[in-house]
Amino acid sequence: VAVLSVVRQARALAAAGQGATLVEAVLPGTDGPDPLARMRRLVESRGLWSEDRDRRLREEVAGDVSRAIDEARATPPPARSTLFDDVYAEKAWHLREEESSAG
Amino acid sequence: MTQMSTQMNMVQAINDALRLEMRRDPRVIVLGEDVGKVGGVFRVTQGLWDEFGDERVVDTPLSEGGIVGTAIGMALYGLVPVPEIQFADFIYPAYDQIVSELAKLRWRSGGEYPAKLVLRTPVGGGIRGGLYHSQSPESLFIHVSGLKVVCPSNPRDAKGLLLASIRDPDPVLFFEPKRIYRAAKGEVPEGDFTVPLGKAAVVREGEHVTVLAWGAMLYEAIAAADEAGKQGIRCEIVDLRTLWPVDIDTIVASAKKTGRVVVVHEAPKTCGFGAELVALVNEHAFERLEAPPARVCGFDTPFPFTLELEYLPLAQRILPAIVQTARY
Repeated sequence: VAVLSVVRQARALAAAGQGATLVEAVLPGTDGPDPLARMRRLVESRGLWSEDRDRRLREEVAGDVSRAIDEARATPPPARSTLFDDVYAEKAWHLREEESSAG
Repeated sequence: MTQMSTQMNMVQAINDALRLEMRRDPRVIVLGEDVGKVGGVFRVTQGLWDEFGDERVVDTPLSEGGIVGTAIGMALYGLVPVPEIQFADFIYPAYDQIVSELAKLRWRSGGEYPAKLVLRTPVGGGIRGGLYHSQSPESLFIHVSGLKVVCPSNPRDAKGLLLASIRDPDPVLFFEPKRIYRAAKGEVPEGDFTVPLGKAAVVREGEHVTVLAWGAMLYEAIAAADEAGKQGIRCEIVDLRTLWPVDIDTIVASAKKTGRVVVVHEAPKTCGFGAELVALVNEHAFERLEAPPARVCGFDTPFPFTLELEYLPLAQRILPAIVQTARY
């Protein structure tokens, strides 16, 4: 929000022919204010987001992730022979040799 | 019907191949530093910008990582880019793009998103180019799974191998030995023809010693073999042409025939491609060997300026290796 406001001013100055502006953007460190939390307070205060919608989105995403993990766990590992596929369009002699020596 | 041929040097032959393929296939795009209006520092791309315009012959900023990264993006969207790195010595800023992206895209996408391009770059010494215009980095790319590496030694092969490289489904590094760009001349078939990748050429048959060489050093190997011939040693000279995947059948057949192998290359000896070739000969033909395979290579130093003729494995250094191997 601070960036938007300052850059908007700078752009207005430039558009009015008053030259360039140097914007010094100081980023918060890990112990600084959380920009995501601040953004959430802003969009909630404007009625664009709510506690309820936030909870539902989090549940939905958590479900997607755990379903993807379950699916991956239920999938058997690829056959060892597939290791040598797709290095080249056609399997080169040295890959055939290594594949056969791998047993 | 007999195919007509024209006398050309390597530069003209490579230019002819690029022009032919750009006319035949609208997906082929040339990009690199000074490849457009200037026609390339060695004039390899001369005239292409005039014929095909600046959407197909693109002058790029001096940014090797950008050139190769852009070419990979083009390839993923179905174009067939032929980027040029002005000297192989400048390829290292693009090494990450080549190794981490280009070489692995087919494998890591399970065959769905291959990125096919041909990266052309001049290699090798002998033009008083000093340490940043003379290197031969082939083994750095042969070691990376998923790349093909090609190095022609004459105009006919340069044209035929480049056309085969552009039509091959895999990424190809096309190393052009700059020392013989204009010195190597020969008859080149007009129009379309290819020299298949992965096939070496036995340029001279002999029964005493096999000499494996490629690019500019092939001619040094031939000169050394001529001298050895005066001592009754008949060499079989194999021009590898495609360095990787190398023509193992031709190498092994020749090694078994002669029982004696000498490998010649400009790149430094340690972990050079010669090390791999010797290992392959040992693995596939050990019981037929009569002498330990020998390597005649560049030294394990940076490429020198004033001492480049001492550094290069020229005929006078190859000859004693041939003689010692023959008499072992």
